[in-house]
Amino acid sequence: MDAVVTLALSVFTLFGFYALLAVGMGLIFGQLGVVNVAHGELVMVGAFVMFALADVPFLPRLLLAVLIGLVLGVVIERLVLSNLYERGFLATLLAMWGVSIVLREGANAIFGSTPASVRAPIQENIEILGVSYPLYRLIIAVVALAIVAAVLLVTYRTKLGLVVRATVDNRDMASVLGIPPRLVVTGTFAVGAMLAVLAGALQSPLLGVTPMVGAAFLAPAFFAVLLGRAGSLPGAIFGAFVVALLSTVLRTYLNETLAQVVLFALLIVLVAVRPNGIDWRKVQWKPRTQPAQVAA
Amino acid sequence: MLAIEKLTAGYGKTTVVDDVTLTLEAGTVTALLGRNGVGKTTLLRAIFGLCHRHGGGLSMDGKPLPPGRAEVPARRGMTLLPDDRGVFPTLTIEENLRLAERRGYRPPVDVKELFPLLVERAEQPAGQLSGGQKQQVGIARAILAGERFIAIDELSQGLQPSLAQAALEALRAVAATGVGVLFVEQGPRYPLAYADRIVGMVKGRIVLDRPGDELRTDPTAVTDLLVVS
Repeated sequence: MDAVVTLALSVFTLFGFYALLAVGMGLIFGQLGVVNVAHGELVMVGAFVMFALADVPFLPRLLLAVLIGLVLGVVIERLVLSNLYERGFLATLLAMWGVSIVLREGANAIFGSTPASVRAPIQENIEILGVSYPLYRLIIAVVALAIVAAVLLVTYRTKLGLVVRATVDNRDMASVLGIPPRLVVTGTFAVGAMLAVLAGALQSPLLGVTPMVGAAFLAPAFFAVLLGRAGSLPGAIFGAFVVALLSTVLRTYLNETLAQVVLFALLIVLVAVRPNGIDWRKVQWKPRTQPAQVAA
Repeated sequence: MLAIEKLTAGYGKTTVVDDVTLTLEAGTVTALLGRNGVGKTTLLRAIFGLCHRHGGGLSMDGKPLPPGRAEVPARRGMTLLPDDRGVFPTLTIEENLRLAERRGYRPPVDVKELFPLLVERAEQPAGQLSGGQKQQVGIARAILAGERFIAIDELSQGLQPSLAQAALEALRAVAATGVGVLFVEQGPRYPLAYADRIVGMVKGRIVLDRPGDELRTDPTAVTDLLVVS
């Protein structure tokens, strides 16, 4: 029983983290058609912000991380991506790869490669069904999932979300109706990047923060987005759950390295048997596409 | 109102619209007529900055319109229904219409009365509609968004005649309140029946520009324009 509860709690907390990563990556992929391979490095930036500003109280520090994430997102989109969209997704992918190297080596130059640690603001454990579990982990998972829910609500239930979805559907027509597409694109990237930085900031007390720490988070986020059919936000979140579940279960029964190998092998098989998940050209936000009816 | 001055435009280095000068007046329904491939669509796209402008200028009420940014004319109350109908496929019909509504502007015709489909299928994604149904969504959206100027490409495509006629009646009612309307057709039927002014294009240039009344009594100029020579 205890083992089951521990497993469930681990899946839940990892799911919160991965869902936050996947929703940011899904937003960027859906809106810009960019595979953000620097997503893990943005997580690393968030963790280092929390480490570097250790004197600032925890909540204001989170807020600072959010601001830094937004600014970083705007800068990357304007300086690097904005001229590359026309050259296709390979150009933007390579550019983001370059950004990831710059961020990683930048962090290496400033902080060095010795793991840094961030102190969690809450040290208590909580007793759940006879299992003692760190309260902080549960809180950040709940916070992460609340943010994910908020992103979904804004996307599917507000005028702003409507504007964003319209720009994904047909950029020219959106601009003909008065929506400035460049602003929407920059804004979406900034929000996606900010969500990654925020995820890293929330997760930082659980990590040994090194410049390399981000690399481990790219793959789970990437597979989460792929599993949920390209461009679908709810799908990406479902994908995050699958990745979190598989990853936790495998780690319980296998050693770390073997668990990783089996995890990614499984994910590759999953994506291979569900190729609808990978569709680079046409991006859909809704999980299902119905064929168009014959003209009346 | 909308002044097109020596406009040359196309895609990449190709010139499709060649040295077009044309002034479109508020409150007038103008038909743009010509055979396939003479540059009608490109002229419309150029007005909204959706293709390359090689030379010339555009201005609305004396203020210039910049190339490459369709949101600028849109903010001044101009709108376009492109020939691919430009619906947002994953958004519902209701959402498609909501995006077109302008704060503080109610068109003189009720689009939901004009096309009952818009109410009957309000919650259906627009991508599932047939071509003619998408055209109805597009025309409704144009009426909602076009506070000053409405451009409609291939107005009658996919529409049954009764609906095309109803749409043109509605556009005439909108124009009567001072909106400029420009619609493109490949056939003479609707321009002759509904336009105040008919403009004809051949090979990217304007070769005909006469009042509708004049051409209704003697349509030879229009038929000559459309006959393959």
